[in-house]
Amino acid sequence: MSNETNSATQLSYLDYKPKKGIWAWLLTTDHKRIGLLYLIGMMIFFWVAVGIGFVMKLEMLTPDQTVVDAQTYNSLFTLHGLIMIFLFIIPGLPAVFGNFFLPIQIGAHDVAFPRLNLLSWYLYIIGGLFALVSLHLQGGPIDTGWTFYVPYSIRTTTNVILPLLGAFILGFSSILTGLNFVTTVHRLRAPGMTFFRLPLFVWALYATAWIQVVATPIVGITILLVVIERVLHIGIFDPALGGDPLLFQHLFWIYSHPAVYIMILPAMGVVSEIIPTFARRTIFGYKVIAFSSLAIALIGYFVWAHHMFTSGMSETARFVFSLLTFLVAVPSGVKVFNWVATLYKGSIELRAPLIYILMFIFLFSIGGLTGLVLGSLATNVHVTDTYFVVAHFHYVMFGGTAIVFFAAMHYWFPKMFGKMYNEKIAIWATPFIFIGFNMLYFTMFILGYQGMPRRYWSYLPEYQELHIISTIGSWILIFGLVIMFSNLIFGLIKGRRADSNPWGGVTLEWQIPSPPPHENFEKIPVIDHGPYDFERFKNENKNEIDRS
Amino acid sequence: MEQALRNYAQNVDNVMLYIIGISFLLLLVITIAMVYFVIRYNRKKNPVASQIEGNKILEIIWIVVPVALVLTMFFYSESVYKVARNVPKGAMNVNVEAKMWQWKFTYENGKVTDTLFLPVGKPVKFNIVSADVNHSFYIPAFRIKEDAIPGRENYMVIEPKDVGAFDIACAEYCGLNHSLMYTKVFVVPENEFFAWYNGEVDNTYLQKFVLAHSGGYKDYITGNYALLFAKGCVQCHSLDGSKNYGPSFTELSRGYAKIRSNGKLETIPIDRDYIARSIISPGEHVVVGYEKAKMPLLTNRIRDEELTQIVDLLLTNFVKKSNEN
Repeated sequence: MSNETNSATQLSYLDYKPKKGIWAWLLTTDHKRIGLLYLIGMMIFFWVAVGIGFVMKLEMLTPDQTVVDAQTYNSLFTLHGLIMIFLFIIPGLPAVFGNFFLPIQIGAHDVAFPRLNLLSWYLYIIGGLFALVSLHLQGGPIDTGWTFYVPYSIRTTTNVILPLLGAFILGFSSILTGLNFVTTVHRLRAPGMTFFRLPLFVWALYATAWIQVVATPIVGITILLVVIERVLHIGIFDPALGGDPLLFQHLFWIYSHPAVYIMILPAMGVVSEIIPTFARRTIFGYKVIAFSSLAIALIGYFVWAHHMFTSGMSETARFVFSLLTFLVAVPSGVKVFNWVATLYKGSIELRAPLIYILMFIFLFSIGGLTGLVLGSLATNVHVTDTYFVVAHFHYVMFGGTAIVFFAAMHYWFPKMFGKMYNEKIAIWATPFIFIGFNMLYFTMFILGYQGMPRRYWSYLPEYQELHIISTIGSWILIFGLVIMFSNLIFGLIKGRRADSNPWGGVTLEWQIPSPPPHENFEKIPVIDHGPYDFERFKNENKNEIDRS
Repeated sequence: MEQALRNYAQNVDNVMLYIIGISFLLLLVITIAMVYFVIRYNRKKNPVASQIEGNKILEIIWIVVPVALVLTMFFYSESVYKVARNVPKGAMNVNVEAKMWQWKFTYENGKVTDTLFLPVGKPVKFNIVSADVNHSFYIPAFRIKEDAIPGRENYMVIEPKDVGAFDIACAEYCGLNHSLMYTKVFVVPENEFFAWYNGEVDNTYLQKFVLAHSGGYKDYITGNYALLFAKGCVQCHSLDGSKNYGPSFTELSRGYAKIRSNGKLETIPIDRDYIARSIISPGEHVVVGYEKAKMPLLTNRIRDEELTQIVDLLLTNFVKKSNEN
């Protein structure tokens, strides 16, 4: 396989322009361009939500009003949650890196339904616009929390319907992407690419896609029911109209718990890609990692009510859901053990993407282990709905998924753009992110155990010291993020040209030029080896190193 | 069993220690192994990687051992929690009604309070309901909470161990003043409690008793305005003139109010009658500029003598103040 001849005969996806100007992007059906479109949208939403988080932490500097009033604060935490969850973390890795690399990693020209893929992006943007438009309407921004719990969401006078419909539309974006990925994995694998030769990122995306297809319709239906109840006053969830508020909570979490696995599974897949590349050895326990993704996806369906231990469910339900919750922790733990074992006797090169992954393993382990405190009944009823939950969630979702998102940006950047960022600066950003993150969120574990409930605009003065540390942490964290993102943007504009395989990776995306040609492969490759077969690529890798 | 309920908070902390202890060890092992491997198998020291595809025995160990560990956590935690779901015979019943953004406690003999008073060492069963949206009845010092959901009655059991005053918070988001929905539980010896229960002593007596016998407590709701805090007034009406959802109490010092009554603008003098009517039927007269946020009805939330006290308080401290100047 010779990269040089490929790049000479094929236009890169960035240079291939079948349509003029902006339409080459807005009407593209190329999975790589669609991935970038998602990335642009997501980065805008991400920074808006970071800004909101910054203001929230500023408000927490003093027990009483610091910068915003109670109503504004309530809207801020709602929007922070809605944007981060529905517009950044859920679509996140699958929509950007899944779109870009899934077809390449399985040796396909594109996803199974390229036009449907573009439609998914438009749904994503329309859903996001619904949420943005609702901010400027009479009644003011939504203030229900991202969980939309009834009866409050039925009764508040703020704009609830528009953001709800936004989430409904985003749901379809998610379902269609899932459908596309399931079909792609089943139908478009290259000859010889058996399921057990799939890279683990593909396995993770595949498990995720099934959750997207099966679980998302439930939240869609639930959202419609809330809208119907608000508009037509038909009693479904609101007891004043004869409905049942717990029914809403069940329906909401039947989707939203599996949804946290939609958020984390793809990240786990990325970790399983990056570690072998920098340890230059095959992954430890390939099948165990692949099946644990499926196990998480499956058991993840049966633990939803652990969000409701204090809601008044029967004792039996509390017992069963607590037990299952403990069991779902195991496959995630197994993955962590296998990742660490993959470092054993590797030949490890500590480059920027790997440093982000090591940070992930530490932060995600804390997030996962504190999940045990929340799964346990006795401790759960004390810390549920407190800052402990906020801390746990951010360790798993920010320390977990978002940090991996950053790792993925650094890992695949040279492949996506054919350019390289300044790696020293990328590494320099990590201590700020790490220290800021832990100051910001670890304090919240303590606050939660001390009994500070979440979604509080004001708080008792005894909590102030920890809040100050936490707020200062948020500044350090944001400083680190600014360094990291500026460095990537600078690399995009001024970066030096990158090789087709700067890290010495062996999955298919590293065997094609950077940036990839329009249809990825001139000739679909025939696969006769596992995904992390470094022995086979030893000589080629050596050449790469010599050149760089 | 009885001991177990009394020591419930301590037992929860023990479960916490157990889980955190094991978790900390696991985190330590993972982190040390990770850092050690990265240093030990650095490309300079170890230029050629060994292609180890896995190890069945290791995989089995790190599936079985974590399963066993989490099962011990589950059963330990379950055994502690079970106690808090079991209503002991002879438990005292207290009905808890949550409402945006205050608490109402009704005792077996019909006594109604907005601060909770309990006898030490006696099991209590709370029957928890909500008058509007979801709330959660949370006593951090007792390590327990249970949601107040409209349309259903939930329960929660505690047994206070020590004399003292402890915070009660709302833990389920319930709108604008969710974070101000605090009150206190005062735990007193049985004698004092029943003296109060039978109407021989008043709330203040018990609060002072706790203050004297528990090494003091932090109370953020003190001074002349305690009643304004207890009834939630200050959540919307400030004491210092700052703007909020309702007019500040300092605006009373003008001696007159510009109001809107059935859509008509009027100016009326501020007197005992005006203040009382504004509290009982807030929709009748709305001060101009504050039409947007409606004041909640206080039906069944305020007794006649409390109303008189509040009106007196406002008259003396806000209305008259300016007249003297």
